Amino acid sequence: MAGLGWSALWAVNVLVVTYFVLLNLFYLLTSLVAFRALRRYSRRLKLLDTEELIAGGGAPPITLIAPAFNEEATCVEAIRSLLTLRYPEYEILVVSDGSTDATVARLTEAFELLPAARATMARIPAKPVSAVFRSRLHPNLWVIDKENGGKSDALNVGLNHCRTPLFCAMDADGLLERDALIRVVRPFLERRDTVAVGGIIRIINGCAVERGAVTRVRLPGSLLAQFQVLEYLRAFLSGRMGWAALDATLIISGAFGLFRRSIVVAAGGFATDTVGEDMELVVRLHRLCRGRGAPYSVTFVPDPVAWTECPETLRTLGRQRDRWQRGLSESLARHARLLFNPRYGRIGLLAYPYFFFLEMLGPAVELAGYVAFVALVLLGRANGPFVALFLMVAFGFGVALSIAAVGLEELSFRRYPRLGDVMRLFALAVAENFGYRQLSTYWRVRGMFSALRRKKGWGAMTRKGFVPQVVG
Amino acid sequence: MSGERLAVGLAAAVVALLALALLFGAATLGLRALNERRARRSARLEADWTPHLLAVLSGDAAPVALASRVSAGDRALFVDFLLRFAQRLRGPERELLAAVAEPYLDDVERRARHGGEERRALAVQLLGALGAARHAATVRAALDDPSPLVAMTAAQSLASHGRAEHAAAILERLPRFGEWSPGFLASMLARLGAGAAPALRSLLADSVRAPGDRAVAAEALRAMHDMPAADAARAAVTTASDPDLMAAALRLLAAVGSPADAPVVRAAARSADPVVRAQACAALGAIGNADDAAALAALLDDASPWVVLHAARSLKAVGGLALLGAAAARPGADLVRQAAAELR
Repeated sequence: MAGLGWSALWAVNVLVVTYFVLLNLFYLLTSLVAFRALRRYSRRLKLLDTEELIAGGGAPPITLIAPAFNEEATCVEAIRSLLTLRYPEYEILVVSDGSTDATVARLTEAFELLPAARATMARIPAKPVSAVFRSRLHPNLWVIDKENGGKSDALNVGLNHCRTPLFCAMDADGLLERDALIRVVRPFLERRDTVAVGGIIRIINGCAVERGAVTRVRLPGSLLAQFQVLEYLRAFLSGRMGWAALDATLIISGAFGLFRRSIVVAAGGFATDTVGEDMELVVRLHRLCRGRGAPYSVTFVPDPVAWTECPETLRTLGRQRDRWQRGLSESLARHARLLFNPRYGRIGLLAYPYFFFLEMLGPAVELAGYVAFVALVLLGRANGPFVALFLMVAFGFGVALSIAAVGLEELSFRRYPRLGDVMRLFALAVAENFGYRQLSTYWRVRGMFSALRRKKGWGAMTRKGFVPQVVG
Repeated sequence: MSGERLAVGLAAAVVALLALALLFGAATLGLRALNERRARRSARLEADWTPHLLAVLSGDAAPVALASRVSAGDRALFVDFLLRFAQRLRGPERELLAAVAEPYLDDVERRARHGGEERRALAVQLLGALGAARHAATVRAALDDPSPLVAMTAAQSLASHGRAEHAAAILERLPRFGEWSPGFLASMLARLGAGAAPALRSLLADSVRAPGDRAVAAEALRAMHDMPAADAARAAVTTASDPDLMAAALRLLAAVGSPADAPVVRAAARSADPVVRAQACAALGAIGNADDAAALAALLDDASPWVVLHAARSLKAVGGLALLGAAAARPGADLVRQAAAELR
């Protein structure tokens, strides 16, 4: 029996080391590819004349679909910001998903909404619409009030009412930068077979907001939010940029993605039985397009920005990470036939296996590693120097890759103008390895089990709202 | 591998990774310092150049007045500075700007032929925006650059400065830009101006050319509101089989056609393709008459919601509101009802 126990511990060790090596090799690969891609992209950006694109009329009309559930604190400011976007032709559809607070009342008052009729151009099943309003002040602003059905259901209602070739799925509480649409639409102009494009999400906590626009970028005051800033830089500039350069984009954030309407309608819209509707849709689009056999592109561009408020309490952050992991697990599980399937090219052979083994199952392996490590120490069987060195390698890799992500930010967009913020990010790259990373692993494992238990629901997110600040 | 060798390997990995982290950190800080120095220098130079440039543009100084303020090392920066003005100026002010830029464009010409594709594309963009006629040939030659990016930059540059004399050359190379969205290509071609319309009409009428290229020409002519293009559009609707081309030609007819074109559009409204039917419905609303009301009312039963919506709108336009009301009252006609409510 004891022999079996040691074998199990040994197997866990091998699994943990294999996971660790593979994970870091992938991170290194995406970081290197992202470095090259970002340099190239930054050079190409000099060729972009947004004024000409806006004035030229070649940019297709876009519908912004913003699902809102109890967003009374931020909805007016967020929609005001959307109304100032620099784009030739766009509509805003705010879909109130059965809000029980004053979301619709606030919008009605602020934008002088009047009852209106709007024919639906698609028939994706969704909860009934109770009322449609149009702003008297801004004819391109519509508000649809419907029965509660979840974010996906609200997006599907928006999609049913959408009439433009492209639509942008976003969060009603997010702030898009003024040029975000004209920048995110570029891949659709440059490749006519583009079906979906993701933009970058940045954290607004700590930044100054004036009249719906971020006017001063600073790191948040809360340490928890600061860790998330570093995570987002790593996830978007190293991760998504790298995967996009490898032509294997599998995730577009639900907070900001631009999609070709016809193909999403043909795919059946957003899945309502998962909390990972953003990733699930992208995976489904890959399957649909591959099935059709025609060339297509799903990609990520790093310059269009959507600012979002991140959780500042452990409880809310834990719920968010639990939900993300649940969404990831559900999306991957329902499209398991992609795994190592050569029919799906790089998606089936590279991206899907990476997300399946390293992002979905990885946290469980990592947690098992921690448990095995503690067990070995308690049983006095740990090879002290070996364990210490292994942990230091893990630590060194983590720090190097995080600092590389900060370097990519400096190479490309330089959003944090204060040297102190950059130094702080360096310090966070070290500090996150002591507690934050382990906590994050725990939440993700919890999310995996939630997916196995088929837990539903989003959990609440307390928002402070965008506080206008005077820039000093 | 023995435990000792493994430990040595791991220790080496630790040292290497920490060194790598330090290297990344140092590179980031170095890059930041470099960027800040460049930004400060650029701001200082631009603060010096701007009043002098404004004096030239307002006619208070000669274009050569700026030459003494630009050192050899600042030439590239100066040209980039001028480009930002060029993107906002037209007419005589643009010519003055070109005169200011002229002494520095030989370097840019060389860059347009050598180096990586982004570098060549940037040089072509600069020449297009700042160059006088002397450099137009270089921009025109870039249409044949092996890189599609450079070729597209050249085409955009020629188009945005309204160089209609190059329309035929750009249209000949449209297949090179096949990856770009038709809407973008059409708007680029429309910027060539009215002088390009004959070449666009010829392309639309040329049945040998790819339907996609002809559809782009139709969209460009629509954006230019080119009335004489109606003949070519009518012919395309009658003879083409490609739905995208037919739809584009119908949109063109809706914009520039006349009641004389209505019979062709009525026939297209019976097409098997829903996009063609929808555009035909929309065109009938623009150039049809009350005689079309019955046909449009019949299309309210179409399987495509787009056809129904356009049919409803056109019914209103041709005075068929009564038919629309009757159709909306039928059981199960939810979409018609919604469309009718929208049009009230």
